[in-house]
Amino acid sequence: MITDPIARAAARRFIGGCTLWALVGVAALFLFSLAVTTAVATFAGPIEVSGWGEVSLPLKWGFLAFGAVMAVVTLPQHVAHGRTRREFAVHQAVCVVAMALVTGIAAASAFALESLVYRVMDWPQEVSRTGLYTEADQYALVALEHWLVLPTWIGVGVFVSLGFYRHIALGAALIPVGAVLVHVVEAAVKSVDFSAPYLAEPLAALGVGSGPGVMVASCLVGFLLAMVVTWAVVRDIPLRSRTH
Amino acid sequence: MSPTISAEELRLRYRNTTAVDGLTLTLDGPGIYGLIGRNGSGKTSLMSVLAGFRRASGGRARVNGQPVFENPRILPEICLIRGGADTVEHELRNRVSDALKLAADLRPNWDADYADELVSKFGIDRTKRVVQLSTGQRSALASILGLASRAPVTLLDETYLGMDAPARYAFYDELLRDSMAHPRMLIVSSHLVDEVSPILERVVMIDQGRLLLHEDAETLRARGATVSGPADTVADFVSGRTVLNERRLGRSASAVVYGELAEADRAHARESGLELEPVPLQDLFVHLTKGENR
Repeated sequence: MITDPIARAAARRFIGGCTLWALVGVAALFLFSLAVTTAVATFAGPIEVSGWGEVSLPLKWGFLAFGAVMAVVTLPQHVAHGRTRREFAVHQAVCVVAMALVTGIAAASAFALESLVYRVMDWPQEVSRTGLYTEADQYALVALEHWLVLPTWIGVGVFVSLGFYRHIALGAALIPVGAVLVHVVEAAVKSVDFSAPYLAEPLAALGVGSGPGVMVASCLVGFLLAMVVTWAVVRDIPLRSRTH
Repeated sequence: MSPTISAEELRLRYRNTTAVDGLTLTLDGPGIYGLIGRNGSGKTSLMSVLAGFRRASGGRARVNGQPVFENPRILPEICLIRGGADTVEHELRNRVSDALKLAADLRPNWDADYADELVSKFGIDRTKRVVQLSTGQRSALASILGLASRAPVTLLDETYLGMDAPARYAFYDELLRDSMAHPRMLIVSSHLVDEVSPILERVVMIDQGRLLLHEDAETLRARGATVSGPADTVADFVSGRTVLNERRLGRSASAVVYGELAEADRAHARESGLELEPVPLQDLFVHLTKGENR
């Protein structure tokens, strides 16, 4: 619970603002997918898959980019106005989770909205993918998958961009770290037996089987590692000036 | 509480460059302090450490007796506005009103009425995006963020950069007026010494990351004198003294001499028909920081 009114205002502005932009981004992408679907139906033939299902990957990349921009804009603003890096690190972690939560709900709602259009147009709303949800009307699983993977995607965007803000070499060095984290959480939710990549055999040796628990734990560890790396980058990050 | 700043053996290094080199300094009480130094002398680096923008490489920086870096109790009391609109560079996509709202949300002593007054005074359109403002207007906006923050320790690092002369003088007037109405520690860094010197109460001069002097502005001006009168008489009077600057116009001349004048010297000057005035800080600054050109 934040008791300092200024810190509360900072948190409200940061988390509320980012969450709102996340919703705007999802809405814009949804409208874009509908527009493309309509164009394809008009000019290229029948629709066979869900347009919203096809933009699942661009949505994640969009959130990674959003996390990157959000971090390099917000951190200097907050520190320049007398807030600490520690406070920023906590607020951004909450912000990332809040964005993932609303995006999960928004993504499921988008499938529901899309189903109305597809029903009217008599198009099949198929989802051609592997992952937690394999049908467009598995709304709970749609939300759950976004809740599990988006925090890591956004967190990777945050630490890579702050790495570049700090030093170009650090930013470049953090790209493979981010790639590994994203791969771990994506592989965890997409594997048929929910096993964690790289960890399945060691876990089996320890007598821990694969299953939903391991998948959730893998995603949680991915997100926590992203936050740890973010803190390592941000804890004494200098605010750049034009000369240094 | 009267604001205090103390730096002990403060150091800041950027890879191969030492920007602040073992600087020890104490500033105590409200007033307008001038931080004066040549380009690259370490002014911005020193201010950045004092405001927690950067962690010092060594030594200690304290405000009101407390360490600055990452200290949530003291950082809201400090406001650093960097020159050339650096402070608003992350607000470029925002409107002016958004930048003011952000400051209002995050600055505990923010004075919204005063900010509105300054926005009108500097003729800034609050509906414009920051990126649409001219460089001078961005600098003015940054200065408004500093002044209206009413932070007990406000550091203004060459905030005038990009402002035209009328805007700069309006800023200096506002700085003086507001510091009298709301006493606090205002530290103004500049290398336009002539312009800023009339409003300074104390002067901190640094060079190559080291403290050159820290004195009351009046005491500093008394370290020398500007002598003016008939050219021959001026030449006789300054003979054997350290002359910082000399000007001649027809049969009249003026010279700036360095070194305190004894009362007998002053009396002699007056008897010879010479006028004595305090030494311009600009000349003193040039004299004290001359050396190898950088």
